[in-house]
Amino acid sequence: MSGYTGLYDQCDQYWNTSAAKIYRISHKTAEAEAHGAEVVDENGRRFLDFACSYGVFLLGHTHKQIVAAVTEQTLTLAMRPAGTRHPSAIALWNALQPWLPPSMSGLHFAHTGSECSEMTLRLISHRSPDRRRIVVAENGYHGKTLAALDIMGQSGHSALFGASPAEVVRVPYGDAESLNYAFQEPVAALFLEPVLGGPFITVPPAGYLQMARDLCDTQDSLLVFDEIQTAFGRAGEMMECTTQGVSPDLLFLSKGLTGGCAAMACVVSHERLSETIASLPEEFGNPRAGQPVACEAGVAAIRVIEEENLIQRARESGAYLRERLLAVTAPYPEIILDVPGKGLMTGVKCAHPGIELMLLMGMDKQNIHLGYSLNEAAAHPVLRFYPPLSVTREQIDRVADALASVLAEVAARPAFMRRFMNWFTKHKYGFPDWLYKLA
Amino acid sequence: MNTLIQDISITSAAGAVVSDGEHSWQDLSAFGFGYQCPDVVNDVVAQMQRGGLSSRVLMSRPMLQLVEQLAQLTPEDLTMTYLCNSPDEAFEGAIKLARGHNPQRREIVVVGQADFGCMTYSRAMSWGGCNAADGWGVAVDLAFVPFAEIAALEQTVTARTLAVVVNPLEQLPELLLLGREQAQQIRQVADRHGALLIACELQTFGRCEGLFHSLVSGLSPDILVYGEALGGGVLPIGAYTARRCVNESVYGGRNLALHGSTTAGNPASCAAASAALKQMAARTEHEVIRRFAEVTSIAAERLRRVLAGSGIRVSTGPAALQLTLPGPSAAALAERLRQHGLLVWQRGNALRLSAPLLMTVSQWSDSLTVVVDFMKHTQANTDKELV
Repeated sequence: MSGYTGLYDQCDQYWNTSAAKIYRISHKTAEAEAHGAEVVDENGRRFLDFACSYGVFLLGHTHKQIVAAVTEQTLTLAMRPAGTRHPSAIALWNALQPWLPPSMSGLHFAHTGSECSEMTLRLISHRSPDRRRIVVAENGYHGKTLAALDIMGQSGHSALFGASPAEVVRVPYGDAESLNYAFQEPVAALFLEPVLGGPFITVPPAGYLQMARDLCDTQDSLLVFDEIQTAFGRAGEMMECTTQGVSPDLLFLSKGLTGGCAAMACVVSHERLSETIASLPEEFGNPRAGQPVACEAGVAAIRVIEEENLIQRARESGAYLRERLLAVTAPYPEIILDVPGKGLMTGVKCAHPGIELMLLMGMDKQNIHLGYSLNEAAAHPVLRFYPPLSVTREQIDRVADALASVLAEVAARPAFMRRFMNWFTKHKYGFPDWLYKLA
Repeated sequence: MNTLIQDISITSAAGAVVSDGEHSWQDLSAFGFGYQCPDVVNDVVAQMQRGGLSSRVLMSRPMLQLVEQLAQLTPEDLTMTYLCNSPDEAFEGAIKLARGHNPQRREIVVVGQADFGCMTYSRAMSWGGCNAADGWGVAVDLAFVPFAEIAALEQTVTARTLAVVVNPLEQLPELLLLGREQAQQIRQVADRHGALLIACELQTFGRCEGLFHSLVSGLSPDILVYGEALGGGVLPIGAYTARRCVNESVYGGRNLALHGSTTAGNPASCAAASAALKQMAARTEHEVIRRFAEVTSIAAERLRRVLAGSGIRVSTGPAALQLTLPGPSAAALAERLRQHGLLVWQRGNALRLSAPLLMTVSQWSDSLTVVVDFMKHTQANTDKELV
């Protein structure tokens, strides 16, 4: 592993010192290539990817059909001048449209989900200049750029960067009473993830999304669904909002949108907002985003989802994965508190961040990547199991069996060791450099 | 929004030329790289076969090699690079870093009028703050001072100022490149009050010797923002490079998820950037820069003679030329130039042409000749109402 000292040093000197510490202490290698559900490092070691970059690699890595589409488009016309159009955007709209709730009529491009949040906040202010109240879910996540941080539901991110200019009310996710209470004052908009994501995976009670729609309707407030994690089959449906029959005013899509082959995000708008959008002093969307390569990736990805019947497969695989996770974690209620989730948006809710890290390290030794929360402030973080939608039963069995053995190892450790790991996890970025090098 | 070109559906492009299948144009509308450079395209396609985006659990060699290369190319003392999905996000990231570095300070001073991008804070700072009151609002006070007016800057920057933001190329009302003496004075003013100096080189990047005007002018920023051309006309990417002490004051010893994006610095965009930097090395040689400047200067002089008495002002920047009209009719003029095969940038009464980096000196010269001849024609004929 000493062959990677140079890369650890590069990481430390030129990019991110905290990342360098983590790479160094965990003896990480470098990625060489990735195909399907496997990531291969430069030494030829193969990892089963149940992290999938928090959902980006929904269709696995370098899916042949999508790579073929992006290659062809890259060779033809990768980028267009900012502000011009390209037929691929229309093709993407045509592919998306059948899966959207009724009356969604506008497609507006951005580079990232954060940018979707920022442009939406500007639209909300333009539409309701006298209403400053925005309601979001506690532990919700809508990006980390400065304006997006204003509506961040997770603690710890925004404290460093100053106060929000708006009145942002955070309500416990899924709690109808709290949501009702937040609407006692005029609300400009409500932001919700149809299934709360990140390290807090929570499925809302039945009727919660419809109640949100009804509350917004009574006040003419905007309902924004952030489906960046849930859509395209991750939570077992193409779109959660469509399946539940609840039309948002604005819908965020990204991550799985391009099948893991390009970076792109978009906001889909309801037709009732057409006039408001047309009256904006700026374009609603980034004129440099939605480039032909990314749009073609999106078209190919949706085609693959349809042709390979991946939504149905995700439902079945998701049910099987949760069943196996529930079975292997049941003997350890002091370590694993729950297996929350829906479809293939699932994971194990850990007793504390130290447990999460121990499981992550144990699974890594078994050549399995999981979605680490990177959130030591979460009391009970969910270690995410986000495989590609095409995951096989054999792969699920391999992961569940590995988890069983890692859980047995963790449970066998003395309690003080687990407490030490929790302390270490919470302080792991703050030790002196020599300690990481020693490790 | 650029309403002049939003009706064009581009189907192919090469070098500086874009086409909708029926018509072709020289794209002079942005400070871009140009299109479909074979070396960049080939490297990106090769990376896409191995993995265009990364799982990010393992290290990414393409990204780490790129950030080391950028540390060597950027001004001395700037070593820590954060790669972003777009130039817009890069500028926004720089502002976020500055806020984290000086959290108790509540003001940003922006020097001159330029375009800082599409994010909320960027928009509020663009074009002299004309958008600042519109939209979501920002949690800092913004102050604007005329370009390189050091006395005004001295009066505006205070102990409340967390950062001074300067784009070395003022874009409105005319193109004006920051001079060496002014650059040093701006640095001194920022130092005097403990404010960070952010240089936004989204437009000048790749058009000056050694890639950055900060190197030529000795601006010596704490954070340098660049992009646009960095993606080689194939994939979007932006970056900022900061002093280590500034970066570490905010992100050092803290959770690496405090700042980051799922797809930023992905292997495909890093492959594009590495290939683009190789191309730019030739483009930013002294002799090439000199020839572009010479051609631009000659065309500007010819235009000044043609337009004498019309009230139209002609200004130049690095491989760029701008006409500032006395009335608000630049859109009509831009439309006529489009009919003559040139896509140009227009805002209000200003109209600008800038050569993509793939454009040769002779192509740039030919494009400027089209403009000179066209303006000569409009002056000599009844098209005068255009201007």
